Amino acid sequence: MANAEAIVSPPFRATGSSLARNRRRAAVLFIAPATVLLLAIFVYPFGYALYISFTQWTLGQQSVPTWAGFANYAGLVGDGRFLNAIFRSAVFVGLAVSIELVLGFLLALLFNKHLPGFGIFRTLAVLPVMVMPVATGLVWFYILNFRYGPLNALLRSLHLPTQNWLPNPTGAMAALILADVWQWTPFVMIVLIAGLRSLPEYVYEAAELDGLRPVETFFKITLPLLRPVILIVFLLRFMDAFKLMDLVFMLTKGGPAGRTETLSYYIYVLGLQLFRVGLAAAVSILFLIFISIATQIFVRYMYREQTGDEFA
Amino acid sequence: MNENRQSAMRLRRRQLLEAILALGVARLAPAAPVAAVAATAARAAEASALNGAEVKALFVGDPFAQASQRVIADLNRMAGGTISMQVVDFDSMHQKILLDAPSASPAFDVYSWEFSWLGEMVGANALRPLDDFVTRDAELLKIDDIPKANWDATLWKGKRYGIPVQPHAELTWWRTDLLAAAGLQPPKNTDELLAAAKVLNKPDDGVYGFLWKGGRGAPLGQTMVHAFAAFDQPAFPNWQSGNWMPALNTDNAVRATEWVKEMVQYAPPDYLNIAWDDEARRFAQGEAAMTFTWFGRESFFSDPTKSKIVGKYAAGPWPSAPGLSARNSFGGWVLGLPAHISPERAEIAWRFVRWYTSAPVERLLIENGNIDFPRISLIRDPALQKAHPVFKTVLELVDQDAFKAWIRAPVPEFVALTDLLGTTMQEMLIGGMTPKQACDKVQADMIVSLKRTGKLT
Amino acid sequence: MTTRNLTLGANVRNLAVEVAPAVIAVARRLGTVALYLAVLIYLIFCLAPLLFMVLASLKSDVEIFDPKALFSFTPTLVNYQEVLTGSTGAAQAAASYMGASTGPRALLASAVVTIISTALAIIFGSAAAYGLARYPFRGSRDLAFFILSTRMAPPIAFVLPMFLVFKALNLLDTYFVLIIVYTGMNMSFVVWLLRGFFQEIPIELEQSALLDGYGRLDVFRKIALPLAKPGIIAAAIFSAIFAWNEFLFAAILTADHVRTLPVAITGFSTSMGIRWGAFMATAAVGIIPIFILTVLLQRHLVRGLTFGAVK
Repeated sequence: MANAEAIVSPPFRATGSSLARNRRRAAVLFIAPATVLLLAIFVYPFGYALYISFTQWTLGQQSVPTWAGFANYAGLVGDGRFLNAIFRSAVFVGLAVSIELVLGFLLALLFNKHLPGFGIFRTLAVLPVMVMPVATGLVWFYILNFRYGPLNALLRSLHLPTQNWLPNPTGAMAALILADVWQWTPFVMIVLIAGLRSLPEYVYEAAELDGLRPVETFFKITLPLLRPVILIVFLLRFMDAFKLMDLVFMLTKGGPAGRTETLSYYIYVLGLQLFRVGLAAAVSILFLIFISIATQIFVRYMYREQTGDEFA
Repeated sequence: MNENRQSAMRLRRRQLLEAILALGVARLAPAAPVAAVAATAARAAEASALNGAEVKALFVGDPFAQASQRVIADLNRMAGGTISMQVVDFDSMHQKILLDAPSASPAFDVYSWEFSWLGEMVGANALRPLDDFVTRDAELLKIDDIPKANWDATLWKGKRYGIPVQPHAELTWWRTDLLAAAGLQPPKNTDELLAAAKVLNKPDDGVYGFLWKGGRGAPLGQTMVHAFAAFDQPAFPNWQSGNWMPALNTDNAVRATEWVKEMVQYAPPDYLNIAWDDEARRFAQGEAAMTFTWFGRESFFSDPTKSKIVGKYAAGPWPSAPGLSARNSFGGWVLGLPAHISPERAEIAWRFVRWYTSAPVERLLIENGNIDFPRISLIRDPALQKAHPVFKTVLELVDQDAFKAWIRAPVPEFVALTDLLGTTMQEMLIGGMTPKQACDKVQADMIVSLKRTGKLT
Repeated sequence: MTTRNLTLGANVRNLAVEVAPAVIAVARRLGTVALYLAVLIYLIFCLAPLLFMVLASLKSDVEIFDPKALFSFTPTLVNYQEVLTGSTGAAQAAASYMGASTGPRALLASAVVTIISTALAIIFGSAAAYGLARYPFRGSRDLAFFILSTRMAPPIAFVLPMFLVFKALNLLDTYFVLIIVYTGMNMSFVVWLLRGFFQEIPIELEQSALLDGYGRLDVFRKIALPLAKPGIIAAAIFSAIFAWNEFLFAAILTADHVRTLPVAITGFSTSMGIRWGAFMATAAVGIIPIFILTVLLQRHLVRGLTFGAVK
């Protein structure tokens, strides 16, 4: 029985110091430009944000920040609004990303088929991702509106009970998830299609020669080979869903009564509506720490099987 | 950099095209008689305000800015220069004015600011005092023509920081036909309003008693502040003497909150999602018998192609609790100059502001969609009154001096307050706490907030 | 047809054998139909909101809020006119075309920023992705994590510090600043996405090429890149979408000179409400260039070219 691992990662050890120098030079050549750019753009702002998080600074009321030590962080410990925001974010990200991954994968398999017209269908299916996030929120706000929204109009015409979607606490969260799934599932789908299509032909030819049935091919070859792509798409969606703000802003403004106030929306309110930039920075730093830890866990799991294989 | 050359080329190309278009527009002028008449009048009043210069303005996307965009060609001609206008949303306006206006070389020459931001702006050193210009050009400004409440609200600790360009006020609106059918008089106080809402609330017929703004945050928060004022409760009664203790859980405040809670029974089920001009649109569709909305929204009600209630509505001030005098909040926009603008640009910017807020130009904007009361002469004008009956109501309020600045105190804490009210009161409305508990919580939270910024010890 | 003399069982068996291919063909056809049906259902879900968006953009503001005017209304182009020229009257539209603050100028600004930042992100990002995938060194995992971490923080955390930095450098309100920031923000996405794709490529292909005497850069350009093309296309599409639709940094870091589309659209959000018709029209207009770009790039979203020669 053919094994995907054996096909794609034969051991190959490099020898010789000039070869090692060559490798190092190549590594630097490839990686340096991007790294330098990122360091230049992000290191100072991050440091400054870290500094601000230790200050009490409200724009418009103070012209300079005043040092406050850990006061911002300490204040967050018992802050009900902060803890609520964490909970709401967890619910939203958990549900939305799970749905997007599963649905996106199924759709990738579906839309990947080489049937007539599917090329156009694929292009059409990407449209939701292209819409400006604020516009997405507004459109769904319109659709779900109790009085004049098309969804309730549809229910009415089918003589089904109409729902008061957005003012309802559970309904509001469901609406948020629905809008996010609508907008981002195509992203998952396209990336997975790209992944499926970059799997080399001859792997499948070899599998066929070895007499594998389609189902076995899928589970023993396709899925393992796709693993890096699946995991990266999960990681990206995980991070982006946590950062989501525009949708909440347009759809629910965190309501009703804070039931959909996610962490990133809370940061927006703190920083750019109340101008309490010190506290906003503190919450952002905590946000960053949490996401870093979570992604570290995922990344280590993802690459735990990567051996120290050297390449040429 | 290359972009400098590119932008220079673009500018030259644009000027050439504008010249060509100007010739074409001159031929099109007969098709726009109203604009032409206003244009000549304005030109006579203020010859070449800009003198060929360019002025860079950052405006919020409110009706005055949008009306300006519609007639920008006329405005440029009338001003004798180029108005480079950027239009942004409310939050962005607030952010930009805080981040950019205080800087040593501001990106814009003119900023629009909201009345309630005044304290914050001065504290951030964002605005240039305009007393020297105002004294110099007092006659040209025609200060008597500016409603007193608006003019006073541009003062902070004795210095003048702007010229009002779009003040607006929230009024009560009701359906004359529905009230008449039920044999009711227009409500004069909070009790009558509540009673009328109850009687007129017929959800089975698709008509609710009152369209209420319950949107989270500022929409509900501002409504609550108005409600407090109706029951004679300013949020910070003594802020002007330096005492910042808020008064948010007094008997008056609790009574106001209870009144609100009773009112929402007669509102559509999704009132918690109604924000800003949703209530105006829905009122225009005939969804409710009464509502509160900014009076500029009259344009929704009076246009037969858009409104189902043409001729069937009237407006009045916000109600007060029985026995209290009339009091109406007002808000809106003021034009100011950034603090560190250079003297040359300050002169250009000032001439622009002086010209832009003058009656002829404001009239042009009113005719193009900006329903507003920046100048008393305009709301007195019979032709405009005929086109916009609500001007009569506003005129009465101006004459009665009913507009009170204390309702929306121009202090930074006001934003924190509306945010706090907007969230806690929503909780109260969905049944999470009683009115008294909600008031106590808001009071406690506000005190914490004030202690943090050092306003309270 | 001499079946009359055989048993019933044999009859049935013969019938089955003759009918079977037809049944399988029908089942396969039904299966295909089912696939098309599934695609159709999903596309309805995808496109219905966009349909309502376009419908709303063709209505006057008040009609949008009339539940009975959902489909029966008289379409009007006044919203598009306002978005593209900033005016609602025909004469004024013509006159103010070149001075308009929305519409064409914003589209151009957005296009410039998007195209350049996407191109830079792909170029630098794919190189870095390849380096991380094929040239691991001690600490390369940490470096990769650092690159990923630039995507973790909510933009609001960075926007004020960045404002201060660029202000000090006098770079505010330039195309340069937006391009740099967007390139940086897209970089981590491109790197991590393409790292996965490069890792999918069987390593022996490149190894044999190296043995054959190809230079490392050639191996990257001629073997890895073409094989990762679907990934590159996907990365390009989504980087472009991100740059095109990005609002927060554009709003804070630019002022008068540079105005991108998302910033221009916010002018329709007044302090007293949102001008729905104009908002929807701008959103609809904003989709078109990206859609065209996607259509052009989708053709390349095909399986990587085979490499029989290397095999």
